[in-house]
Amino acid sequence: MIPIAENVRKAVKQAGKQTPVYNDPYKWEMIIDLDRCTGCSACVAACYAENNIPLVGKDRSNVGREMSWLRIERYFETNQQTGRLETYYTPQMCQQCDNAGCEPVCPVFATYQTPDGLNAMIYNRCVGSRYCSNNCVYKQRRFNWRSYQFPSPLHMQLNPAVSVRGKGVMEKCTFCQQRIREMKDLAQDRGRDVNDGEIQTACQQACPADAISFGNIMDKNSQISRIKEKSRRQYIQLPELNFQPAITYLKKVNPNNRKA
Amino acid sequence: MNQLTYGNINDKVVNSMEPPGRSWMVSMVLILGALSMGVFAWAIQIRHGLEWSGINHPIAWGVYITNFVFWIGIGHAGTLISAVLYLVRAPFRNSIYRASEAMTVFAVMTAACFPSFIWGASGMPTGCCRIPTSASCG
Repeated sequence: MIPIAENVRKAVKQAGKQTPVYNDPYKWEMIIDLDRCTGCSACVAACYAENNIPLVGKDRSNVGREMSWLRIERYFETNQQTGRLETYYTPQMCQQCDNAGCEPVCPVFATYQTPDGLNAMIYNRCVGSRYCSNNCVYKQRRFNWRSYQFPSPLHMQLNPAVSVRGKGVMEKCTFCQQRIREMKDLAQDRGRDVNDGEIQTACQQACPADAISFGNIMDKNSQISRIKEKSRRQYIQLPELNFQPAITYLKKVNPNNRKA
Repeated sequence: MNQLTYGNINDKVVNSMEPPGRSWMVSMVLILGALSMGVFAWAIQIRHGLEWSGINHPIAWGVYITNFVFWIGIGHAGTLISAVLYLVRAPFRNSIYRASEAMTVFAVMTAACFPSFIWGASGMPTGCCRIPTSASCG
């Protein structure tokens, strides 16, 4: 380990004491189990359908203008023991950082931290300076380079709970804000808190391997609280930058690396 | 400048009120040509969107911020020339600092154009006028 990284880690430990404290009943977090992920991209398709994400077409997608809020990163690695090429998958979406880089730089305060720990994005206020995208280390923000059209049959399947974004606006994963809002309203009407498992994000719902779990970290009995308490495989991405992301990954266990 | 008389200076000053000569017209055509090329490119960008500038995710500013910093640098140079001449109390500084400070002012004005070009909503009339309200900033 290089000494600079060690110093950074120490600094992060110091700074970690300044973690924002959530007194609200909710703080939404997600856990993605990479051991279960097969890279099937069902989550990507579900995200497109749920959040009215435009399809930019083959040409624009080839030059990197795709709008997917959720993408599957692939990593290729040769296993030293077996000599075989192995592929690893990592679903990547907005990490909903507690200490986000995108928020302080927005010139018009279009992105901000909600009391329940999400990075909200106000499309109507965004002027498209793309400063947030520059400052996001996870590179999860997508910009509407033009007003994308939803050709004839597709406009019938637009989700009415999600706004369709116009040209010149930044957008990103919202942790399916509309579903959270719906269940919070329902719970409030019934005079209780949202129960664990009531809210499912679109990617979580679509995942055939159940790799994604979503819930309220303030609830000590929720599924993700229990996983975070006991799992030894958990890690967050780029911890040395102290962005404090809300997505925890569970490391892939490779049976080929098992010691004989 | 072998015979610099009051008559010569008078001629030169009054000459600026005459119709401009050929060299002035040629240089003005060149300058306006360059300017109209820029306006034409900007019009294309407003018409077809920021895609046409070639900038993309994650390098979202590209040549615009390069130009911005370049013109800010030109402005700094003008200020520096003027400041150095002032600090050394150079007796000949009047004509030079006037030119260099004019350069600074216009360079800064040019630089200020570029942030407005990269604004994602610059194609819309209300693009740069969406102002946050204090009520919704909490």
